[in-house]
Amino acid sequence: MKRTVFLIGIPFLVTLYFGFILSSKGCNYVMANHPDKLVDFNHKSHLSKYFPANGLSKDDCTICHDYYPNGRFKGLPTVAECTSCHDPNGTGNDADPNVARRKPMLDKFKDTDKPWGAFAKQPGLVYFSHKVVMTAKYEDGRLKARCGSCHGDKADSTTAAMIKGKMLMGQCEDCHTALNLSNKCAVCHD
Amino acid sequence: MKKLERKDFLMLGGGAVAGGLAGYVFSGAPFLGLQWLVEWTQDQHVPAGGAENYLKAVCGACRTSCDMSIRMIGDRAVKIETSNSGCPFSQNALQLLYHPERLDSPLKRTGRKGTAKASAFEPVSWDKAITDIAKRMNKMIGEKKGNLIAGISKNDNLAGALLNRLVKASGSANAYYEPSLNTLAQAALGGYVDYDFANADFILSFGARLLEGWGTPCSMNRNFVAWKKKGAKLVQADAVRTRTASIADTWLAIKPGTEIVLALGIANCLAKKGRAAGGADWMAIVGQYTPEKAAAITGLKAKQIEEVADAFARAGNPVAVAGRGGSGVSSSSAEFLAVQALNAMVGSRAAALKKSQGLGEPALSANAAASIKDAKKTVGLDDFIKNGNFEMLFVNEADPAYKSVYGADLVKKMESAFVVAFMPLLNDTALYADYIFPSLSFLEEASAAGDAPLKPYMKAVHAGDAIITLAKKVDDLKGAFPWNGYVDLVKTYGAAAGAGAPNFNARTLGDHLASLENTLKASGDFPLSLVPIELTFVGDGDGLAFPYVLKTIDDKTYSQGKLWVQINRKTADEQGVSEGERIDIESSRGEIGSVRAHLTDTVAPDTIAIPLGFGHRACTRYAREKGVNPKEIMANDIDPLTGAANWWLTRVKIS
Repeated sequence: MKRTVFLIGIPFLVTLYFGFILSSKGCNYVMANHPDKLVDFNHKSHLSKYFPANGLSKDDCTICHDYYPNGRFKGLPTVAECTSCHDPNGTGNDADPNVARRKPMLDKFKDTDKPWGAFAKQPGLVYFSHKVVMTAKYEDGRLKARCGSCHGDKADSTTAAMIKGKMLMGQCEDCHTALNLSNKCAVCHD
Repeated sequence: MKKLERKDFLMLGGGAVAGGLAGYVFSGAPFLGLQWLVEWTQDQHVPAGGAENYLKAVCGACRTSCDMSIRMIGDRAVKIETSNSGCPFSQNALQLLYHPERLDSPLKRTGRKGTAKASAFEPVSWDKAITDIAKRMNKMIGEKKGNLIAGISKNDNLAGALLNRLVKASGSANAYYEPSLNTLAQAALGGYVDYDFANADFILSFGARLLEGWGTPCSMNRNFVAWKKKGAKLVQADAVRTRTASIADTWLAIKPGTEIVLALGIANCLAKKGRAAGGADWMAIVGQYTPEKAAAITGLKAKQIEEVADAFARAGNPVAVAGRGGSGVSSSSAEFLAVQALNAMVGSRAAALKKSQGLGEPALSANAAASIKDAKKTVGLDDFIKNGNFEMLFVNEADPAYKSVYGADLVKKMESAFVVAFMPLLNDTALYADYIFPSLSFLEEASAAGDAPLKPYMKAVHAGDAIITLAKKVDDLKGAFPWNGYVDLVKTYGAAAGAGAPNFNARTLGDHLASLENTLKASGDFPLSLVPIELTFVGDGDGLAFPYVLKTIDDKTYSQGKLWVQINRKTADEQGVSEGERIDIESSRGEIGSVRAHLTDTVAPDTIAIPLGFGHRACTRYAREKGVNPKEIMANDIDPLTGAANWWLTRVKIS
């Protein structure tokens, strides 16, 4: 009996592990946009150190991920926005804890560069308005959606690795249903 | 260590396979695969990659001229957003632009009429087709038979005006628009009603389903939001609790077809307050319709009528709205007059009569002038289909074979006539066309608001340009078409001027009321009333051509190949009809195929509400052979002023 359990159980556990890992990686691969992430970024340190010091909460994502005046989502920040805090002529050490360090890895980029790509960029046939979803409110004034609903818990991430990738239509629809947003085709497609 | 036997290898292999499968399942991969499968079945076009770009334009779909942003991936538009997010026209415009069955070149019929099969047509060049039609027109006009040329347009727009001019310059009076809110109002009142809803504070609607495709849907949605913000009141009179009725401040649940009686009852109350409109003979009829009498006919209480009349009179800027329906409108000329009389009685500033300047009347050649003397006079489209004759017919985006209650008569006449159609998609009327020309969607057209946002699709051309090109090849028409193309006219066309006051003709009102009395009378043969309802996006038929629209149809409107009708629950009990049962509906004109019954309390007693827009024979694979077309059995009495059939209320029975 013991031998039987070993003979079945060990290969079961080994292939379960590798099957799970391989399939997960495969899913992640096909669901990722495979962006270049030329500069690593630590959300956690920014949100835990600099946000509280400036009176911001971890939900104030628009400080870096803002909207254009016409309402379109800017998405990722430019290097100029990074260097507005990380002064290129500043010091490279923590001598003054209230001053952000110079980041030498930004030197090779122009101010307008965005040295990151998005994991979750939707395909061309889908239109998604961040502004509409992120400003939708319940009657009591609470926001209906949070950034983390689609992008994962970036507040705790310490690298530029993917937490959540693209979404399939079913996931979009589930969220629309839960938030009482329309699921009519023309809302996202045309 | 015991030696491994064959059985042990099987256990090892089995464990490995089971483990691998379990890992695969727990990773979520199969569910991801299933979701892909679901997406794949949606037949969604995935554009080829390209740079993302946003075009700025002004929407030309209606007079509201909203700002429009078109998201482009490479050369292909993939999404449209406008400054009015509630506008269905612009949101769904790409459905027409890139429709899989969009006509991409002129077609000449080579097979028998009545079929949409590709084998029945052959592509032909624009020049060859126009030359052939011009030759036929030259011959007809030369023989002084220009009065047998006719034209039917869907919209009262520039292309429609150019087609009207082509027909009139040929020596014919047979230039018609499909009955619509504006064309019916113009025929009844002498001008269309330019409603200023934005500044109205009390809206009294007589069956006009204001938020279900009526008028200009995008501006109506915007108006509704404004009404709610400023506290304007909406009162809806309707026999069915439609979407508009359900979100109105007050729903007056009247018996079907009695809107005009309600209008007269309210007018009677206003008359007692010293308000008047029309002459003494008009007011004499109004005097007969006391609130008590109107209540007995409409099924309301006299007090309700008095209260509405009182609130209407006291409002700062009230407006009464005629034109029963959504996209498809059917109201008698008497009803338009009676409702506009209410506006006159309270001095509404929100219902001005206006008249489009149009292109003016063309100068006639000697042949055309001789021809028009022999022209048979008919008043409107249905009157023309029933009583008129033609040998050559131009159809500009219209679909009278489907939408008119006289569609079957038109089909018979088209079978022996030469028919030319301009349209982006092949509709039921084009089944009988000899030539079909691909025309443009509004995204490809220049408008008074600006240049065309996108390039024309394949070989499609603006119908106005095709008509001008044709006219220049017809000897007797050249002089009437001095323009090089429709773009020469877009900046100036559409100007409107005041139309003065309507003629509140007491005879028109009296005749209609006498006829209505007969219609409302329940008979043993046809004890029930049939009234139309519409789904906003399907409208009266054109919307069903678009795949996205199919997704908005609920399963109590159309499911499993059957159209559903709504029947009052109590009436259904009396008729022995149960939920979901198949029934046949029959009027004095005949019977339509079976439909399913949905029992509800939202429809007036003794009434069946049937959706319009279904039962096409063509109009793309999305619309074809889905349900039944109730127009085939609907009432067909022709209105003396509009020349359109008053099909709203039909006496029927079920079996």
